[in-house]
Amino acid sequence: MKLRWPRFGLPLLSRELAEQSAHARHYALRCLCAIVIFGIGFVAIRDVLVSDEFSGQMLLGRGIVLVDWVTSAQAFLILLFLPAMTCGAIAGEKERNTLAILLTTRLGPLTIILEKLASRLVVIFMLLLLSLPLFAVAYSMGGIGLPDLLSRVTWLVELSLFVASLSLMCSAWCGSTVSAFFMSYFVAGLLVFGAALLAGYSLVFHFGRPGPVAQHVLILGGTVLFLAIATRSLISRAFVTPRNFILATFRGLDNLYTRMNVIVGNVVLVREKALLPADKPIAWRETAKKSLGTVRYLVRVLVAIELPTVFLLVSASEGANFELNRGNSVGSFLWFAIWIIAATLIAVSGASIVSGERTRQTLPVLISTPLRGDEIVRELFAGVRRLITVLWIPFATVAGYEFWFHLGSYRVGQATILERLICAIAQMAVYPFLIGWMTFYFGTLVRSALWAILGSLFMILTVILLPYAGALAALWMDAQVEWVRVFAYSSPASIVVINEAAGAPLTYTLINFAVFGTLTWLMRWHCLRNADRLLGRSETLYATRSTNAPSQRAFSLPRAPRRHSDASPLVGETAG
Amino acid sequence: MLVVNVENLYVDYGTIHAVRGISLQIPRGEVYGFIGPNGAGKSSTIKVLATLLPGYRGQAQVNGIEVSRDPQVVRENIGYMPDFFGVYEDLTTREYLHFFAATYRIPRTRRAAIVNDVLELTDLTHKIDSQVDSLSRGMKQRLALARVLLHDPDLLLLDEPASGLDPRARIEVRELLKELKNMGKTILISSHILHELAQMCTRIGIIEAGQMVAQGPLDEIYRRLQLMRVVHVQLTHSGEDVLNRLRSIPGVESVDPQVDRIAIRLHEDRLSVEDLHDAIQEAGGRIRMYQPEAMDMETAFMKLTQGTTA
Repeated sequence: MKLRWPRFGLPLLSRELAEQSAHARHYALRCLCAIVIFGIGFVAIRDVLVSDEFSGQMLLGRGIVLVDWVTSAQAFLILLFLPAMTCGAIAGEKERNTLAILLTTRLGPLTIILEKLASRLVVIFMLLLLSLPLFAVAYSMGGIGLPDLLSRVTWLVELSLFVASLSLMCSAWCGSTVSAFFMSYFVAGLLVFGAALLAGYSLVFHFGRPGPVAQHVLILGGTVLFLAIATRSLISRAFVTPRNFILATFRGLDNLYTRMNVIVGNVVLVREKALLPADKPIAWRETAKKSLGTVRYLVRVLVAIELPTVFLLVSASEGANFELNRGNSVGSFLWFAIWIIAATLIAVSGASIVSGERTRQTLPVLISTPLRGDEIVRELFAGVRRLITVLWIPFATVAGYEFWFHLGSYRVGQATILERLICAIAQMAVYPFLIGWMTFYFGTLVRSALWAILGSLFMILTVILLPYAGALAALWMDAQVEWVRVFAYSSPASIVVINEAAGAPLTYTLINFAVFGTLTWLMRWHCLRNADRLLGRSETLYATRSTNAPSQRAFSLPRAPRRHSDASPLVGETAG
Repeated sequence: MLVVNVENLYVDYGTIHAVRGISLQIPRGEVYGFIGPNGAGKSSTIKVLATLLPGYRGQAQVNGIEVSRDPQVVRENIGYMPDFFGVYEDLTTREYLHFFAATYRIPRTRRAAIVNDVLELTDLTHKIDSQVDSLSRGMKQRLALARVLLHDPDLLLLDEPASGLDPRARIEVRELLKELKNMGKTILISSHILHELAQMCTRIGIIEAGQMVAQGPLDEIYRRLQLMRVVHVQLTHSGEDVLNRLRSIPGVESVDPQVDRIAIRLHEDRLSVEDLHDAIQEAGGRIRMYQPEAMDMETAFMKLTQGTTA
């Protein structure tokens, strides 16, 4: 009998890596991460490098600072990108109906999970490797020993393992990539919040902080647990029907409210009428038939946000005998919380309008109707507009409360209370529509709903963070402080935060809203003007198209041999 | 009057040339069957006519209107049914049809009557208040046909209307299409189910790798393809001498001995099937079996295409 060497193939890993390497976005991501990591590395030791009295000796002992900054940046990048990269690993197979085929191969569930995990870790470890030169520089600068350096690298590897296995678990659990994406961040957020809570209270008081070994055990234990759940879910939830979690949440709320309504005698505030569409059919469908567009569900959203808001505001006012700081901070906390919820809801809603139509394969039929492109876009946006209108109510509640709370005092920080109120109203008027139109636009550019949502969130982050990059650049170039302030105040986040904390100066506020108001108008104008092109209609290129003759490009290309058409006497026949 | 006039149409997707110089004309009231293997360019051609494909080159006219010049007018004249059925999961059949009636700007006072008419035509009246996503696939296809009839368009563009249906649903759709044909609708229909097209199409076009391989009335295509008809023959003795005598018969193109028979290809315009029978006997062959190959659309399709894609 002839002996053969056993062959260890990793078919799934090979396929995944080949697939990933075919996408340009991975290379773009690497470039982006390299820019971020090296940029942060530079910022960490910038004060020494740009010093007039710079000498190599000044860098001695600064290695620890460099390593800390770079490690933090890498941890941030891992938390930001790894869930997004991993959430489609199994859920994507379910969406493409390829998981069943995979399960019928000789690959076991654990093998599939491990190979999927490895495929994501290879990419993230490549990103970690980017910082190797910086670590070498830091080590040569001194201030950090090899054990410390290795412990930080180990921590990054463990974090990658932990986050990837968590996302993989969510991916194996959920029926769709979008659900897995949100579940990954939600569970990660819960874990971070829970861990912080435990570390802050019980554990610290009763047991002290966990030591390094205990930390490693906790992280690796969590990783093993997530992988075990993922392996188990791979088969048991292989054919799970995709669920819309937002919809499911509000349906749950709906049931709760219905049960509660029985207690007060079945009060009906808004009766949904089974009306048929009149003159704006798409707007009708967006507002009357889509789950989150109907009045009934929007009242649920409103109650779910407004009730806790009012409760917290009232208790802050009453409970602490009108203590200024407490009332202020509760208002600010609610303002930020509502902003985060509103921005997320509007972004998801805006991004999934067109990509959702594409996913449901309803767009081609819709755009083959005689409705004009701009009409279709206007009507599609009606649902988002209604959502924004509803979200104005909790915003107005908090803004009104804060105005009332400060009545009697002329100024709050740098602004008068009236200026502060104007700034709050302008935020409500401009930013939601900016988010809505920006995400709508991005949703028309990509096919998958997940990438539409991810890209939209990335666009929002860019709009928020880009001005800070400008401020940093101005600082670096030793520009006037005024320029730094102009850049810093150009970020919507600055206006939201500073207006709450110390009242935003009116000039900067007006400049900010003028810029972003114009940007919103431009986005809307662009979406309406190019509606046909964005929706995929044939109007796009007719200005440049020749009507009869094939283009020069068509002639220049090698043509396939006409096997039949020239030879066959049948070609060119007309009805005879 | 031509309802569809396509001349020298080119469609490219990046470096892939999906359609390469197709020309076709469809007069009013004609049912044109568009046949071709997967990836041949059928759907791309239909999408151009449905105003959904930017960047094509050549001429594509509906009712004399260039698709790229005035797509809005073209959209009012067409009813497009894609090769998939996108579902608005939150609508009933009535709402679905009223929704599209509104998109075609049918006056509100007439919508209910039109919806009832098209539902009756497609035999879906009993499903008027059912959720669309609860309908069977065959019913969904009939509902899609009801949708394209709402605004009484001049041209129906039906892309694989019977794909993925079970035999019963396929027959139902076929009968419905025959009904539409009897109503005088101009239809451009693509399909893989060739014998069904044969029953209803007045003309067919066979497309492969983005090029028109053959087009014309079905009878014409059959007649032309029969020029090289194959006749399968079994002889009691088929030695080399007999085969050589058969090869020398005028009008015989080739004689191909197979395991249990001989396949003779002949030019039917020079030698009829009946004359070949006599010629074989005169050449000394004793005939045990004589079978001219049946010509149908599938044979024509297989003869004309080689299964390549664009």
